Amino acid sequence: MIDRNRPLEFWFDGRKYRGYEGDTAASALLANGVRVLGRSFKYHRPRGVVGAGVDEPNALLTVGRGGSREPNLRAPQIELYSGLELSSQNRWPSLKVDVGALAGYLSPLLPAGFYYKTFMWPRKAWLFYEWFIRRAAGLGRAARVPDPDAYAHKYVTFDVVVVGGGSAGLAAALAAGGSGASVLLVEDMPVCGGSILGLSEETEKGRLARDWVSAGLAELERLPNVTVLTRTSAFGYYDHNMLCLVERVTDHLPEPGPHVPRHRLWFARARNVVLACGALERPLVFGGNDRPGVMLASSARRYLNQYGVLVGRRLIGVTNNDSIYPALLDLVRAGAQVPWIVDMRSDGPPVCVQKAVLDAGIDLLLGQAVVRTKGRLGVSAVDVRSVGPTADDVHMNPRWLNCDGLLVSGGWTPTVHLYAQAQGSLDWSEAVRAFVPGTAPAQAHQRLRCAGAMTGIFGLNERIQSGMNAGIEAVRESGHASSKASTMPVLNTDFTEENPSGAFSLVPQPRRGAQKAFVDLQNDVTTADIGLAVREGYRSVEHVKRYTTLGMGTDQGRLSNINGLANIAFSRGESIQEVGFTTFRPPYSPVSLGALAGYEVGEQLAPFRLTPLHDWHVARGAKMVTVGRWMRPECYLGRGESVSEASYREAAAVRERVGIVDVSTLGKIELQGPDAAEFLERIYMNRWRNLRVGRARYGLMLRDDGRVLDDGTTTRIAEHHYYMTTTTGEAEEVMAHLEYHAQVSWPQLDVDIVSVTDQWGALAVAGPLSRLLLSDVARQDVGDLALPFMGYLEIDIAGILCRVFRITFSGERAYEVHVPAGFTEAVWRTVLRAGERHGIVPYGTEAMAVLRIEKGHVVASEVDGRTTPDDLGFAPLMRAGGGYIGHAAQRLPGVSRDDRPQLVGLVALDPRSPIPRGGQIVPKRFVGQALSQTERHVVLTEGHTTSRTFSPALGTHVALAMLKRGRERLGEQLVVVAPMSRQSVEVHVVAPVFVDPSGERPRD
Amino acid sequence: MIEFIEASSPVGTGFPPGRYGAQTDSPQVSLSQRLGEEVYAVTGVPKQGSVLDTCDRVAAGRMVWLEDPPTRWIPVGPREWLVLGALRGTTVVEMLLGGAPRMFDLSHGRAVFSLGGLRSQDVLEKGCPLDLNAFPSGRSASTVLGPFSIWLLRDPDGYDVIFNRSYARSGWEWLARASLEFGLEVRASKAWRVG
Repeated sequence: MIDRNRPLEFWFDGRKYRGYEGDTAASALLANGVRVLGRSFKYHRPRGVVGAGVDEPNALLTVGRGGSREPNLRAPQIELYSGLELSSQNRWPSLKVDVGALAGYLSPLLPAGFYYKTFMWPRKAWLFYEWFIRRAAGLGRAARVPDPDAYAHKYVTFDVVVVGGGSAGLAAALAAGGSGASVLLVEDMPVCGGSILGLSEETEKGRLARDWVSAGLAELERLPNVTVLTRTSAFGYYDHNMLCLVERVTDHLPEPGPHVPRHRLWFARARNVVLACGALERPLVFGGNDRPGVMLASSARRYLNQYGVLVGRRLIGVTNNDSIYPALLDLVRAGAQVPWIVDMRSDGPPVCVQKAVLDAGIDLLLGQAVVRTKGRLGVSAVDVRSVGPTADDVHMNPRWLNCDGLLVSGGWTPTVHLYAQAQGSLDWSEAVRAFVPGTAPAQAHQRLRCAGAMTGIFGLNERIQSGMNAGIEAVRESGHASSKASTMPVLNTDFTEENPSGAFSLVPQPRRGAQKAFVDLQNDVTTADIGLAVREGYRSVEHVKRYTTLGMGTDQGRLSNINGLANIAFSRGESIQEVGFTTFRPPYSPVSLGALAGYEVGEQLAPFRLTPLHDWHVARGAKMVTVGRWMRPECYLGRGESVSEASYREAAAVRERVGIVDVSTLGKIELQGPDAAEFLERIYMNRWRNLRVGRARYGLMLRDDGRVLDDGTTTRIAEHHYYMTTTTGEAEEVMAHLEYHAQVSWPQLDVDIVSVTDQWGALAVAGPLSRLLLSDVARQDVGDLALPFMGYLEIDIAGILCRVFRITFSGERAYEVHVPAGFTEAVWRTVLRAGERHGIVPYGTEAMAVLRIEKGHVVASEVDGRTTPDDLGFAPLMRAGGGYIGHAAQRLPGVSRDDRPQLVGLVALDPRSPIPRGGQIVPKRFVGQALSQTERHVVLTEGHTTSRTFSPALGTHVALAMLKRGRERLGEQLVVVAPMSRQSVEVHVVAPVFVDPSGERPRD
Repeated sequence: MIEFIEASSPVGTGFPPGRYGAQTDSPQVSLSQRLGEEVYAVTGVPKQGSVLDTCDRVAAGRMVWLEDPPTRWIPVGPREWLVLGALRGTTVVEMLLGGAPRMFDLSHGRAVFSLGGLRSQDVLEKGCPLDLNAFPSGRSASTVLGPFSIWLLRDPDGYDVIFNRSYARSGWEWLARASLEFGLEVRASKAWRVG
């Protein structure tokens, strides 16, 4: 209801208008005499308001400006506020004079699917054509700057969710709410009441029907267990009674408060659902049925009774059912002139209605229909003739009747979208001439019931009764005692038993002077388009939809569905039941992308994992990179250094002096229990029972299929206590692998496994001076006797007990120091301070990669899910006798065949030539040949490079590679090619350890 | 002189103590970090008649509060608990369990945030799919909050949300941003110290 004491000013296409609080953009523009609100999708025809709610297909407007600009909003759902800026869409240069309207003259050349048949030659010109096609057709345009608004999600659970705040929905909520059950009532519009708000009928107690709405809402407000959500669309019904709703929180506010989300996406789980989605009035399909001024009769009534807007002064009604009559009588009472009502039925409405119509001074034209309309920017006259089902039945002579508005009613279509999304079956109702919820129950996991007009019940009293019944049943099924029935109004009107069914809503075209008859107003789909699709052999309704775009766009066939099906059925000479219907998919109405994303945008899109040393790295100016979810320092750039230069400098420092690196991202898993050793024996392929306390061992674990899953070291910390490290990337996979086998494969083993990855920060101190440095900071002996290679000690550094492992990833003497995460930075700083006199440098992942490639250590690039232990040269580690996961698979032909790729090293013959990353290895005979020929033979690849780097130690480029029979081919010269980057580098094959092949340096 | 080393906070400098978001008379949400909270994974089979065995019989699957030592025992699986609070060594746990426990210290690996205030449930409902109306004091669950895996505990004063430490900073900011709509007060936390 509008408040005339609160006038508002708003803008439409740069012009100022006046409205009132409670108005929508549609009602205010209609009240200001604006009839044309937009241009149509394909032909740029002028279009006005047709509906009064979510059903509006034509009047789509753009709201706001800048990043907050949102296109394609339905004018009847845009609430007015002071300063609201609206603009029309798909027109140039203006709404009244639109160059795109020339498309209408070319329309014979632009039938459905024309772009599938034309613009096919020359092929490369499609992008040129596409630019014009996209410019000429379409809806509003999205903002090109970032959206400044915030969006949120909300997860809730209720005993009963009622969708639809009309008569049945309100009754259901009242019945359910009185029981004490938690109830959510969802209404799309700003106020509940649905079609009642448009009624003028009185109840038997002399009150208006809408007073019952106010009383009901007041009752719901008193119930603490009931939540009423208005401005909220239920757009999706998913399994197990999960409803997705989008609440427009601030769209109606001129200045939304800070931090309040604009839209909120609700995930509402319900024990029971009552769908009371109502029904939408169908348009009639006749020539020129899209002219501004052609409006649904129920919408005109709603604009009158809810917003105080008379949609025209001289109105004509055309109908195929009874429901138009109360609307037109209301309009007459409000001062509109209604000279004629055209009823396509030969017998017309009941006698009492006919009497009321005649008493109001309206002429009733029975057995006739509007076949065409006139008017440039709005309907000015309609051609009324006697009609029958076919063109032959249309009277030859036109009879033009003047008007400034044509109100139509083609029957009512129950809104069954959500019910169908819930896998509910639909039955064809001949009485309603539409699909209604079927008699077969919905799937067992969807506990829902339907009520009101969506079930094909149209009398108000019956709708309310069905809502109450549904609400009572829903709470009963939820385990709550049902409440006593709420007071129900009984309407004192002759029109309560409306006959909403329309005999037929497709009006045949006259033989001469036929106009475009639109089935789908939003997508400019005409009866001719559908006829063409059927003639071209599109049998399935789904195919007709895609070929013609019928039922697409933001409208999703709300108004066009049944008329479209009727048109297909007519063209094929079948019934609508035989044609069937298209699949109902979410969303029922458009949802902003912001609402779908919620908080998960920008930095919150995917949270990063940070090591305990993150702040230190950032403060030190490290170049950070993401490794999986982790943020890690790639290198610490010196003044003027490139990443390569910095990493080579850092790697050289490790080889020559000492470096320190953050390895906190390693997976860390603790195993405790007397069977821990046995468990490790079965998980790893090498031996573990003989590992002494205080010693660490490298291990390789395989998958069931014999491929390598991961590698790492495991240390025996105490008799029944082991500490495993995994690679960063496989930490979660390995933990899941261990848990699965502990719980499923060997539950009899007494071992407990806990991931402690986040508990421990870790730093590696590597380089020939690392022992000296560790001695400086440790408060105990860390000499080679106390802490030998592959040894473990618990060491006090700076008052913190650390786990120190003498293991290496760089090929140098190294110590991995694991520190409780909260103290990792303190220990790191202590080591760095002490290391200053040894020339310590922090190094990042890039230098770490250089060092490990030089040493031939494998990582995920080599352990890529395809490689076996033998491929990687680990066959000697395999335990004789088996008994571990992946052992049996080693005998499979695919795993054990002779020509499998094997890990080798490659050295570039020209030290200046980088070896391509991911390059393919081809035989030597291609050396010196043109690249194009090499490219043609790339299918003959002998293998591929897995990791490559410049080796500061060797002064040349090296790589690790998987090469067929690689270990037999040491010394061979080959070519690495990368066709995409047109690189070709000659290499020779070497063993995959470039530095310290004897492995003496870590032990020195 | 005793030298103390203060444990670093996993939260960083984002949203330090203070008032944020909607300006209401009193903030509807409070957020603080329980920096001193110790966290353990404890496994073992409770002997018949032991404290934990009795608790398990009385309130199967529910969180157990013990006064001595002041700890919360959250059942996370068969014969496995997540324990919040100072356990003061294995002996106490042996007594509670009536047998030899296995303890895994996770105190540094988890970040415990306390969320309170009238609208704390609304904050959690922005990312947690649990039915929080059916999540009374004493309940705990392994669940998700937006993109995070968390443990959620409900006690009479509000909620404790447990993140893995590496996600704690993102999680803290997520909670703080989700609270802005209602008015947020970030309260000071006490740091661990060793010395």
